[in-house]
Amino acid sequence: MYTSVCYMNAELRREEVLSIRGAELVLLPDKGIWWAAEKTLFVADLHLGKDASFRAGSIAVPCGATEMTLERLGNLVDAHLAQRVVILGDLWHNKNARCRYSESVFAHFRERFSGIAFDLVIGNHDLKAGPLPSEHAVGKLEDGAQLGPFRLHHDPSAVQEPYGLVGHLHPGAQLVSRSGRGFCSACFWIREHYAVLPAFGEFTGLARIRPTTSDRVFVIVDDHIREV
Amino acid sequence: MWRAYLEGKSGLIHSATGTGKTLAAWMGPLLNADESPGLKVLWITPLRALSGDTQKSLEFPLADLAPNWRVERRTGDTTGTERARQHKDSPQALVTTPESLSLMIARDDHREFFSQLECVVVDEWHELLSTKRGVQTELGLARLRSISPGIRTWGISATLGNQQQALDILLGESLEKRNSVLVHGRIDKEIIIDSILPESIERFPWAGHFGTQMIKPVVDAIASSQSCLIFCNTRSQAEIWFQSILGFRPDWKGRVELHHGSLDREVREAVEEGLKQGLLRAVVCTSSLDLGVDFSPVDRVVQVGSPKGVARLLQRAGRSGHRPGVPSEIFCVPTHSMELIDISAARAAALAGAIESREGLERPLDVLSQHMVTVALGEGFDSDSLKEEVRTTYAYRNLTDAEWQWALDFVVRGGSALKAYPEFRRVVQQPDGIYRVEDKQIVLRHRLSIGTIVSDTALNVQYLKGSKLGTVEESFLSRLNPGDRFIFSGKPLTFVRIENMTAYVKPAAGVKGAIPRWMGGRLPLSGELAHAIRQKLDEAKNGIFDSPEMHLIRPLLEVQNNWSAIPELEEFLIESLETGDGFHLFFFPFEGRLVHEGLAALFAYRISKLQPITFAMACNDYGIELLSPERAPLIDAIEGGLFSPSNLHRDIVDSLNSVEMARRQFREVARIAGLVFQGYPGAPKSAKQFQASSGLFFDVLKRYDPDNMLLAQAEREVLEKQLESTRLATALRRIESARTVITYPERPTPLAFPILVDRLRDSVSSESASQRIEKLAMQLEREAG
Repeated sequence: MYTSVCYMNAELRREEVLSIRGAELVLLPDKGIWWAAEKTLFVADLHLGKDASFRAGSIAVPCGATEMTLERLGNLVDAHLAQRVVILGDLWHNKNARCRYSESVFAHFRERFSGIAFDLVIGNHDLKAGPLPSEHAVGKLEDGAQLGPFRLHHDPSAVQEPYGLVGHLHPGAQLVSRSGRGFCSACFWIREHYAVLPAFGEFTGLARIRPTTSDRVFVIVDDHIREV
Repeated sequence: MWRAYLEGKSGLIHSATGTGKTLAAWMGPLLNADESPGLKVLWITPLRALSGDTQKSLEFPLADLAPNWRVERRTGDTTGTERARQHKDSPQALVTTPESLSLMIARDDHREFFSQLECVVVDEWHELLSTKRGVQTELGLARLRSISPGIRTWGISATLGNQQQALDILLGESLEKRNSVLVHGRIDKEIIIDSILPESIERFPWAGHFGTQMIKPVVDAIASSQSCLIFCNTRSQAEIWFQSILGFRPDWKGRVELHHGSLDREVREAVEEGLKQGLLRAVVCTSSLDLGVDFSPVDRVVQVGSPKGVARLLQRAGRSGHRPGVPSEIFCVPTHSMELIDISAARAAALAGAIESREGLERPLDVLSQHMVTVALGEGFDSDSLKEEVRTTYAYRNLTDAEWQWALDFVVRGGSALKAYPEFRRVVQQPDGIYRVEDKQIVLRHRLSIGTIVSDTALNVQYLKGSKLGTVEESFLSRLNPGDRFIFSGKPLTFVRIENMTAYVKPAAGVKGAIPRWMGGRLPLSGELAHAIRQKLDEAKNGIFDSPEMHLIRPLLEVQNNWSAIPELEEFLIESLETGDGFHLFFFPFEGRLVHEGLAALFAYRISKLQPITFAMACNDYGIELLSPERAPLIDAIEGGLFSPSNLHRDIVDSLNSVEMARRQFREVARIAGLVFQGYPGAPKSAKQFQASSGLFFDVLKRYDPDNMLLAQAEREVLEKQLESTRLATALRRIESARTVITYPERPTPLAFPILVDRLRDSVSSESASQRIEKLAMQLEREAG
């Protein structure tokens, strides 16, 4: 059901193009999916303000992860001239994450991309974070909302036919380095009925997946993307 | 000792186990006992499990000497009501652990509680002193001394190579230091180091090869003793030996047991109780039974494999005849031929008194920042006076103002004043200038995370039906697929699934399966034993074979000498060999695996700077193999300073993936400094949301606050602890001044063969490896004639 083409783009960054249900999706080493036909960028699990929520909980995490996450997202929007960004859940980490400091960082970012539509599928962390103010200009999508041939979800356990794009899992694939040490790397996990995006946020961990033989796994290693 | 105590002195009592040290340390305070109320003696023991036994042995002489005294315990098991009662109506003596001492300091009434204190005894000080728990103890002692100046501090220790330093670390820069003594155990304990030898040896040995033929003599040794401890170096080895012994004597089921750190606490306690009662024939164990519980019925100890260190061997020997006057006897069982040399060398080193030293740690900032929060939790602190108090410890005697300031910033602001940590709060400076913790959540979380013991991520192993077996490292379980079989806790199991940090298993019919391989399973050879081994080889070179073990290995060493050479003390042997696999260089520093791993990477790096070349590396406790597809420029490299100690530090950092290693080491640092909060059963949701992996913290800090001193500490710990850079530098200086002997044997020599085999094992699938090894060994055996 998939056909896969590999090519090197101008920056010598390897991308993967998948054809799923008639739509061509580009898996980016920056942990997003680019749907050129609709000028839409998909990302999942930004967990903005997670660093701030840790600081508020007396755990000394320096500033920077939230800024860097948004900067990378901005670069992707610029590089592909995206018109729309769809976030597959967990934009904010929780309520404490939305401190004055983090919200000001986000407001600044949103201003810079005021012409672009941002839509959020509400994830479990967004529920904790509470409703967003209208000036953030983030549209709300129902879980399971339809977009072309796709259903947009946060949690894969809720996936509906025909094909889901989801986040939530922070998928990581176990790889073995040349020295024989195992390590875990963020990945896209393409399954029969849904595709799981890697977590986009800087300050997010990985959960090791256990793929079956019919799954396809694309890992991200050093700005490259490779099928394993 | 009693006289020294009554004169007000502090000190360290050291001797082998089973010579009545506990009683010796206890008599002083008892002879000084009076009727006044208040806590007089604090007794710190490294193991919570030991506290019960310690309490009993301290209570024993009370009736005669101090009938009004009470001895109580204060550990993680003590209930809240009990703790409160102890503060209202305190016993005269309290048995506790380093962690519980910190928890007492975290109370705001601790000054009053300790105000009558006269003496602190630190039991098994050798176990603590070179660890972060030792540093935690030092900080606790400094606090006690500042509360009641003039208290006496006594340490109890097994024999070490650096007794005086062990005493200095215990006393720090305190006033008592000037008034202290070292007390040698008065009774010289007789220790017999014997070995169980195979009837014949394979000339070409590899790890584990003796295995099956050694079972019978070990079973005989068990049969002829009352109660026997069988020490193995790794948990997986213990599982294998336990299986094999029961396979040989199925009728011993239930009377031979297994004991290692991964087993469930209840299982371990039941085994310990069985030993104490004399109900068990034998227990197969690991270092889990190294520490002090008194198993009087044990009359024989067996060490499987190389003891790896002299002190460890003596300590284990002391587990038998754990009574004054009864000799201690240990039987060493070699598992492959080269271990015959280890055993012989260990005996020679023990006789010569060449026992390992244990060094203290130098100002770890993670432990310091934990201590600062601990004190802030209780009565709070003034920066200058706490700094001076901390500097009275040995670990922090050289603490700089900048380091203190950084640690203070870390607990108050989150990090250095130059970096932004908005919204952070932990320790807060009050208007009166005192630093305190205000937030109740922070108080709760800190109390739960006091301590410096960091274990690997371990999953519970549990039957589907419900009963728990113990824990196994996640890294092992993650490689299993449902349906796979493995042996754990001496039982064949089938892996079913992982759920909620628990691996569910069900009993399996057969015993065929992988044995869990635990992390850090391979103990490195100690420097003292390594030296003794080089000495033994030197003797062999000169025709001296003065022990049964050396006699047995003589034919093998003669083959080594004929095909290549046996290195003398002042020589450094290198073998250069070509096989179908490529060009092999074997170096034989005899410095132990850890040092060799560093040297292998260093040599490979330095040679590849001369000529681009890729190496496969392998090492064991005796030597190093570098394998390359083309011939390496060895002579040029030696002339160009292959063994030179200059630029060592830079070359190590460049040659090893030290960043990745530091990232792993950061787990411990992050946990102690309070960045990572280990969850606990029933933890409130609010605690779980702060869990993130230490690797993630490392990456975030490295990226957004690269000057964070905890990162530098992790890097230093990797160099010192994992790469043993100090020992590595010493080894390199020795190698550089030695006479280099290069031989060009036609085939792998007896010294080289085990290293080659280790590499084969790691690189090819297990089945084809064992076939290849078998073939190679037979071929070499034929050629040796």
